[in-house]
Amino acid sequence: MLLEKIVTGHRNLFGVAMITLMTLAGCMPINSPVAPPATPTAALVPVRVGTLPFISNAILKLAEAEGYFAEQGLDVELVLFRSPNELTPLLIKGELDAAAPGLTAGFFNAIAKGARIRAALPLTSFSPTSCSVVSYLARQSDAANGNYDSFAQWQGVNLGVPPAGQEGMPGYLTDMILQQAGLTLKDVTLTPLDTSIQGEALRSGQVDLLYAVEPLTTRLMSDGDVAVLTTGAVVAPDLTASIVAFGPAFLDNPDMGRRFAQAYLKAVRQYREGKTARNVAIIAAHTGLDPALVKAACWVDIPPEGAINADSIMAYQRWLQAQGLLEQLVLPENFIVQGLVEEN
Amino acid sequence: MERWLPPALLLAGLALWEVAARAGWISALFFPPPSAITLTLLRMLGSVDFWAGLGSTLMRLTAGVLIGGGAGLLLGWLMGVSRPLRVALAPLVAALHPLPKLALFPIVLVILGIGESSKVALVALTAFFPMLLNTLAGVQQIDPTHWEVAANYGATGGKLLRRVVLPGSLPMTLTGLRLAVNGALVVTIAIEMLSARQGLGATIWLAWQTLRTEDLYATLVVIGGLGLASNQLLESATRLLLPWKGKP
Amino acid sequence: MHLSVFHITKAFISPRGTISALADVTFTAFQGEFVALVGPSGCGKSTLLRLVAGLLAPDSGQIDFTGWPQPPKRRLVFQDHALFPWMTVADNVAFGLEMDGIDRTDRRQRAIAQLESMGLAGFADHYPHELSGGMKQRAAIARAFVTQPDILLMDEPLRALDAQTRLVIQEELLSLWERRRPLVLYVTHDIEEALLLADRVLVMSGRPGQVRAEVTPPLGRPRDLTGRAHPEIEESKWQIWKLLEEDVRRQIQPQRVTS
Ligand SMILES: Nc1ncnc2c1ncn2[C@@H]1O[C@H](COP(=O)(O)OP(=O)(O)OP(=O)(O)O)[C@@H](O)[C@H]1O
Ligand SMILES: [Mg+2]
Repeated sequence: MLLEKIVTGHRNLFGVAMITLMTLAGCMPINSPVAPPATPTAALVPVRVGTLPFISNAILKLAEAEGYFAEQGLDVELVLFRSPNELTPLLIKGELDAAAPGLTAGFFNAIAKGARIRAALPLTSFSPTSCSVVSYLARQSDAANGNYDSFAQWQGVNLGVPPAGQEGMPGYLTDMILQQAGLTLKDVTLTPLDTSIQGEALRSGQVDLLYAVEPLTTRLMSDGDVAVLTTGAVVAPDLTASIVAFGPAFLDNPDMGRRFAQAYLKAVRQYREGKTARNVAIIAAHTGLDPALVKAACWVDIPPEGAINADSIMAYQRWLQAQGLLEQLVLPENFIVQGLVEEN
Repeated sequence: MERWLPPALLLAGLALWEVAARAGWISALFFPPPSAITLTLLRMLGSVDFWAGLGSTLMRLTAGVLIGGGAGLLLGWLMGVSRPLRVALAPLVAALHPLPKLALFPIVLVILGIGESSKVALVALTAFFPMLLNTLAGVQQIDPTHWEVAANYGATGGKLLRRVVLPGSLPMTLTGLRLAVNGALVVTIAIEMLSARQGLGATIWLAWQTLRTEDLYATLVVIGGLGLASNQLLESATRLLLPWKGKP
Repeated sequence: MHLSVFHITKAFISPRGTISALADVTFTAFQGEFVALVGPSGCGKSTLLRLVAGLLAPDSGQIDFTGWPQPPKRRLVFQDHALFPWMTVADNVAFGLEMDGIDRTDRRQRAIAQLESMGLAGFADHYPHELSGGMKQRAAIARAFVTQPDILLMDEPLRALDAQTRLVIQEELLSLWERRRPLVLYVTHDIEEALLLADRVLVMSGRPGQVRAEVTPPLGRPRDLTGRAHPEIEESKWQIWKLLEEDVRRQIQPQRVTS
């Protein structure tokens, strides 16, 4: 999910940065405050949740559409964003109560500097048993020629990644692959690519390999001219690659946070029933994707019991630190909400 | 007295900011104190990466302005002297000029590939229009009597262009150049935020990725400095190139 | 060799209406002649010069240059100096020479010499905005003269000058003209100036313009213009004044016509 967010995240970064700055300066609320309902539902607690139009984020839409939040007494307003970049600042500022921001260095740096945001629930989680939302693709002709039979052959390749991918999860996963062959990121060229041209760039030979996120992989594979070399799930089994984070309101009021988690996990249970007509319809509506494509694509694996794999994120942090992107490691008790799911 | 007012106000504002950030009245995460920004800026200025990034930005900016501005200048002159060309192209220019150039970036990428050329092309496209429109306006506002003098004394072709059209439109052309450089700087940074590994825009993107806001502000200071320097440079160039625009 | 203007008409059409500037103008002027044009403001004198210069085309009628190796070189001194603000005075004066393809050092030499003869030697490398109105006017005359045209067209060239300078320049003008004797068409509002300089004075009538009469001053050549009175032209002056009176009166305030 994080990965997808990075992929589509850059589009209107300029606008995003502006809006972010303006919002921070308090000039422009992201939305006028929700008017308290006049009906008996007035007892519900208003909550604002940021979402992105990705398959992973559809879980939030599902919980809202099925009324799971309302069951918990939460009046959730989903605010749709185009890019994940403003989510962290808005969570810190308390404009959003929950959202799935990217696990960027900035997320940890902000906490280290005292920002009151925490990872609460796991979203994208890699597991060796399920499909992978992250794949490394090559042209079918090259793969058939044996150009990429071993990772050692990646020496000198030009790999297309999402914009700013080198400083985040794509860079981390790629580095892990290269390490297996005794290579480092310095042995390859990472080329930041706009989502709109990633497939074209691979086909036309502008890049040799492509770091692709669903549903792009499914889309490209259907034409039969690309091949999957390896996947994120193979490289980093058990990695919690993205999370749902809480802002100050939920941290100050643990009961509200717990109720949110209840609703979320109920949605996860329904989600894990698989590609039912209902789930497909909700995800297609949320993402704006063709239902057939939604059905064919790999859906992110969301763990049913709501446990974040803290060790995997610590390993990722150590990598960020080695890249010079992190001032200090943030320990799990400092970046994960404590006592959220154990108690239910 | 008046001369000291702007810097005094600036200093007072910075001091207030510093105090507010240190006292925690404003979020130091999003508004780090000016002293921290200054230190970051100094550290930046001492790093090789920063200068390499600045070099990339300047290269894209310069190449884009030279190519796009040059084309705009040439077409501006031609449209200025040729009525049929003007009539034929004016609606097209009017329609294309306001298009947000960044929206075309993916298309430019598909056409030109993912290297420097697509970035420079977009910067060039941005520089093209202000240069074209101002040069055209410059040619059109040449005193009709001067056209008559030129015609009466047998000026045609290259001589007409060099001695009458070029200097006559030069004041407006320089205004166009200034607008072109400013617009090109904005677009260069924006493109680098979208898709560059190196450059001031890439530094800004990374600052957001890591939420190192001192880096962000320090880079913004550098970009502001670039804007100031380029305007200063163009002002000197204007004085040098327009000796007849003496102070009245 | 002569210039013949034959039944010329010219009108300007704009969305705000049609202005008939010239109606059926006919005259002939010979090579070596100095012809002055006088007439009320707006009667089409500048338009006539532009037509002869080839900057405008007549609506009907014909302008012929008989006997010249076609077409004769015509250079115009514009009513409002029209120097290029972006060129130095020397470059302005050398502009015509440059367009004629004369090389840099040669044309600069000639331009400087011309400027010297017009009392502008020290201003060669100044820009026009640094000159007084009269100096600009002189530089504009120099620009036309230095090209040695076959036909010199001058549109109120001495308008901006004080009486003394005007006399000096008039003298200078005549001696320059005497040297090569180009055909000169000289537009002026000053009847005396027209009579003192020209071989013939064409008197034009008001809108639309026509040549009403032709007056020949009783002066031989060379002429002495220095400050002295010229009683011999008083008769001609009066004659032209009478011719113009109607038109001129029409242009001044109606109260004075009735008083
Ligand atoms: N380019 C033009 N467009 C429209 N009308 C014009 C143009 N040039 C001249 N005219 C009109 O033609 C008439 C004659 O103008 P012209 O300049 O030839 O007069 P003139 O005799 O030179 O006047 P003056 O002594 O005031 O210089 C005027 O009524 C003027 O309004
Ligand atoms: Mg006139």
